Amino acid sequence: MLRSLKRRKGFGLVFVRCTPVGGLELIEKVRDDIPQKLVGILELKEPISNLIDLVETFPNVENLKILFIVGLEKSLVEYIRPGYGGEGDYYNLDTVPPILSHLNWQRENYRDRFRHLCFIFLLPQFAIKYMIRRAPDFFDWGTGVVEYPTDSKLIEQESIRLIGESYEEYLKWEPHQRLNKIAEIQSYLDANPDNAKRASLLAEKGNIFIANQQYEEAIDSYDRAVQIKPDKHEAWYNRGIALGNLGRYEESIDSYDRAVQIKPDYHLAWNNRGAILCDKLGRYEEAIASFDKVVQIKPDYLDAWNNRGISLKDLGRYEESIDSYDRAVQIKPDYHEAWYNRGISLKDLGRYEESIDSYDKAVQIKPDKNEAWNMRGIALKKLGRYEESIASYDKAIQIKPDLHEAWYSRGNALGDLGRYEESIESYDKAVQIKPDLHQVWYSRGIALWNLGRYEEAIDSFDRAVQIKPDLHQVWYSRGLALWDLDRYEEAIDSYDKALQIKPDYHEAWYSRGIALWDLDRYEESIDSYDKALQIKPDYHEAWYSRGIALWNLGRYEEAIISLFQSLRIKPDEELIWDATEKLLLFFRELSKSSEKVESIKFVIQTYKDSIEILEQIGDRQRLLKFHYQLGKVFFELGNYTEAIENLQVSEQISQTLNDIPNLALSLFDLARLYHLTGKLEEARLYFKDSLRLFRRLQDPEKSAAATLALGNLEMQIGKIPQALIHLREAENYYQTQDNSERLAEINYLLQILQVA
Amino acid sequence: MSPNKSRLGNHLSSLQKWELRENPFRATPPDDPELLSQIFYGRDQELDIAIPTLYEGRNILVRGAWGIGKTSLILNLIYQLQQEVAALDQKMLVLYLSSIPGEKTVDFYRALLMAVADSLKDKDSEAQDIANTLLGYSIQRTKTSTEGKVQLWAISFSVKDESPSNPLTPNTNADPYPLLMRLLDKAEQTFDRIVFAIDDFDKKDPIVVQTILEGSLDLFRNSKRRAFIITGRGFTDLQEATLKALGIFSEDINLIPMTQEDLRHIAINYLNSVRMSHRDDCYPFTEEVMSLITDYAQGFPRQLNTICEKVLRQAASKGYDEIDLDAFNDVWQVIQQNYTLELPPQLRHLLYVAHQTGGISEDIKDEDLAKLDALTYISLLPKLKSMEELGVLIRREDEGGIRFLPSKLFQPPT
Repeated sequence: MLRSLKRRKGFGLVFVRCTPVGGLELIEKVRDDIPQKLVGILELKEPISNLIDLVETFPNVENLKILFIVGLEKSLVEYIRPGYGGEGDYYNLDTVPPILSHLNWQRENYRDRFRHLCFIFLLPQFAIKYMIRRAPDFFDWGTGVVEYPTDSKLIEQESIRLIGESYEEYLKWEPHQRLNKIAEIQSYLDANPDNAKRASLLAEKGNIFIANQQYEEAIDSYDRAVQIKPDKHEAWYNRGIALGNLGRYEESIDSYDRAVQIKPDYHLAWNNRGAILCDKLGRYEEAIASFDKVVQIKPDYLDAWNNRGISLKDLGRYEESIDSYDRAVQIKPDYHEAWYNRGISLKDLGRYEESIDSYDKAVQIKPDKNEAWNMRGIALKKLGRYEESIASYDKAIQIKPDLHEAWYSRGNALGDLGRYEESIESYDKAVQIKPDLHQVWYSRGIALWNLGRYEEAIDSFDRAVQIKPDLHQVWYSRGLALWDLDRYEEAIDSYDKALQIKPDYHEAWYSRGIALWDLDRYEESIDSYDKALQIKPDYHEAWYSRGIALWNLGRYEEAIISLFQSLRIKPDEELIWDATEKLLLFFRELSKSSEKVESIKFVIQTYKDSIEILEQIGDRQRLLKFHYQLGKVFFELGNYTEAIENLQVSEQISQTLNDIPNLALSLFDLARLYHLTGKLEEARLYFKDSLRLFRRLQDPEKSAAATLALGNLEMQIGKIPQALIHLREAENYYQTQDNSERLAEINYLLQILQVA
Repeated sequence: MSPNKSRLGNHLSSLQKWELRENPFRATPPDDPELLSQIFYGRDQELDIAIPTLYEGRNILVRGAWGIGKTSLILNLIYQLQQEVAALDQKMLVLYLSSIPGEKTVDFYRALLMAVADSLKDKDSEAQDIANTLLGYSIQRTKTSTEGKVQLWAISFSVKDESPSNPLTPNTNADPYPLLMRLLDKAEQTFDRIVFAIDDFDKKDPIVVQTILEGSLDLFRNSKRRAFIITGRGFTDLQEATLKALGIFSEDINLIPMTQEDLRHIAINYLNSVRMSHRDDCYPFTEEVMSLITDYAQGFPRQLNTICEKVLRQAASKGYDEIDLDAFNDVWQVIQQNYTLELPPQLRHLLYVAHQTGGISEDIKDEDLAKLDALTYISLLPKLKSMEELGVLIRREDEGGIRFLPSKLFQPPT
């Protein structure tokens, strides 16, 4: 070649296949051997698409006879794609490197403009092949390919120089730097280094590819590398990384497995393996085993302790996870990740105070760790320290204003404090950031509902179910809001929707019943209540409402039974007692006219059962009333013994409670009973005392009744003077009332007295 | 008064000075019939009616407030009856039963059965059987006295908790009534006449009382040889009415408070029972003082006794030569003070109100009820009745009805 170069005159294209270092050698040789010809070296440091301009501006180009073009391959590296069989056959069929098309198209220009120049292209094999394919006409003008072999020692030297950087290092390089290195490596690969070097070069290429995020290419390189040298553990390791990045987790693990097979103490591989098992595959046990290996090998490998902790937490082994984190912070006290994770595990254990301490440590170290602020807020909320939790959320939001979780949590905390307006503002922020947070829409709806802004609440609920239609709770709440607006039919529709999703949603059945009742559809409401009770037999509200509906339908006995069921379950509810009392009185009135024996028995039994419950819960006021009522029932039935028994109890309780009105009534009725049962003296004293109390209560009507009864009795006993006084008193009163019936009675009695 | 003498010494020397063997006054009447007949005074009308009635096999009801002398009367009455029937050389059995235990009517019958069986057991095997095996009670004859052919037994009961040993004999569960009736027939054959004197009958629940009376008509009515005399604090007017309608009692004796004169005689009788020589006056009390005392007693022998007992004792200890007005006033202060202070505050308060209002009756004013923290008169009755039993209140009856007055031993605050 040298000879031909010496002789050559004028324009020429020579393509030399060599390594970069070989090329340097060649240049020296040419310089030495052909001193008469001026030699220039155009070194291309980066990809180009136009060579002519560079040549033209090359210093002293007119006088040059030979121009070496070094580094053209750099313009081709970008366009290499793996996969087209054999090494070096990387052709991107879709695109042509611009430089090649330029050379091809501009060849005549070269010839015309640089008539005196002989271009010597120093290229690696792959570049030549590329050129042949993509700039064939240009190539044909050359004299073929000249091989300039490089000394194998040099190749080795260069190879060694080239290998040894990790992909993390390459990440720091500029992209074009990485490209250049790929070109370089490829050059040497083309120069057939020995296997060991070949494998290393390939692996190195892989590393650069990873840095370039060209994971497929990286894997390919590693594959080739380990084909040659199967025990190249770093290649396996990096291969694992690349596969992991592509989401091919199983294969990634296999790679790591190979790596640690070769090098059992390869802690990095163990760690990565563990990370994938834990984070990506959820195989926590195996992950923990991996991490255990790591810390066995390198006890101060923080990452492994941290990851180990996370895996344990994911398994629910919170205590152990905390131990792991503790180890990590032992090694590095300001390892905020571990503090943070520790906090989470403590929270999971319900040890909220301690979790807050851990979060505090984390933010001490890293004040802008917004997750920690957020979680801290959540823990505080769990402790009921709402104000403080809000402050925490605020901090998180300060750091990361679009942390919708924090806005949401903030909203919840404000809601817990009853500050609904503000909570809605927070929710609004959260959905601004992420509109499909159905949970937030729901909470927002609840807050609005609490404020009585039902329409808006419904809108919020609508949004939530738009996003996730199977939210039965939301449908239910929506129903409640509609009910609050008196839109009963629509409410029922909402409840129905909820029930479609969750057929055993007893609250929905109950509310449905209420809405139907509001529509006067009593039968249907009872059906709904029944459904609710099927699901939750101790649903006292349903029993109560059912009872009311039955009352509305005139099914009184069933109504009483229903109400009583409710009482049995919840004996301390005033509302139910009031209703039961009223209903019993009402029913008694009805039964009086119909005189059904069974009804009376039923009423009596109900009173008795009620009294049992009232005694248990110790509600004396109501016990008094029920005994009194029962006494009256017996009185009306003519069952004087039981009447007296019950009225005596109501008398006793009235005394202890100082309940004068009820005491007066009890005494009066007892007096009548004693009179009827022949205990005249006792009756007299009781009438007297009841009269005393009626007078005290300033009840003229009752006082008159008592006076009359007393006078009557005194007459029977033979206390005539007193009898006369009392009868006259009663007479006076009834005259003012124009009560002819009573007056006739009194008159009759007086007549008897006069005669006697 | 010599300071060197012992307390007891003072006391005894006073008694000696007054020629009294001991302090004769006591709240309850003496057991000994002789002594009782010595002391007993008055109630002649009642005795005139009662003795023939019982002899004829008719029943008597004696009513009266606590402490008015029912027990004295009934005891004295049966002793006199015993004397007079013995003098006629006739047979009779008198059983005095006080405090029959048990709350049910069946308990009452069982007690009577026990008493009758006990009286017949020496003569009748069935009675003996019953007496030996009847469960639930044991009886004791605390006093027996025989005058001629008349036996008088005072019987007391104690309750036993036993289980039946022999299923054929009457046990706690069998109905004693028919047995009682049968034995009574036998007893009447044996003794000709039987008189049951039942004291404090109405200590039981009024319902029980009424049930017994209404349910034992053949017990009370059907025999000429059998009489009951029953005392009680005082049934209500009504029950009396019923009883009258049922005709159980031929006589209904209502013991009214005694006159001062009568009370004075009783005091003298008491003194004479321990005097070394009989006197007709109330020495060591002066007449003035006795007049005061009998007034304070408010017609109640028990009150008289209590007052006299305390006054005498105090005066003896202080060594007075006689108990004149000064002496009386002196010791009376102390007695009243002590008596009042011993009372629990609640009772004291009630007594105070009773004192202020001139007695508590059914016509008590609302304000006074309020002072006693009560809403009704009825609610006060149980307490009033128990205070009557304690002797702290006395119950008097007039046209206005029943009235509870404080004992004069109570010292109202100034």
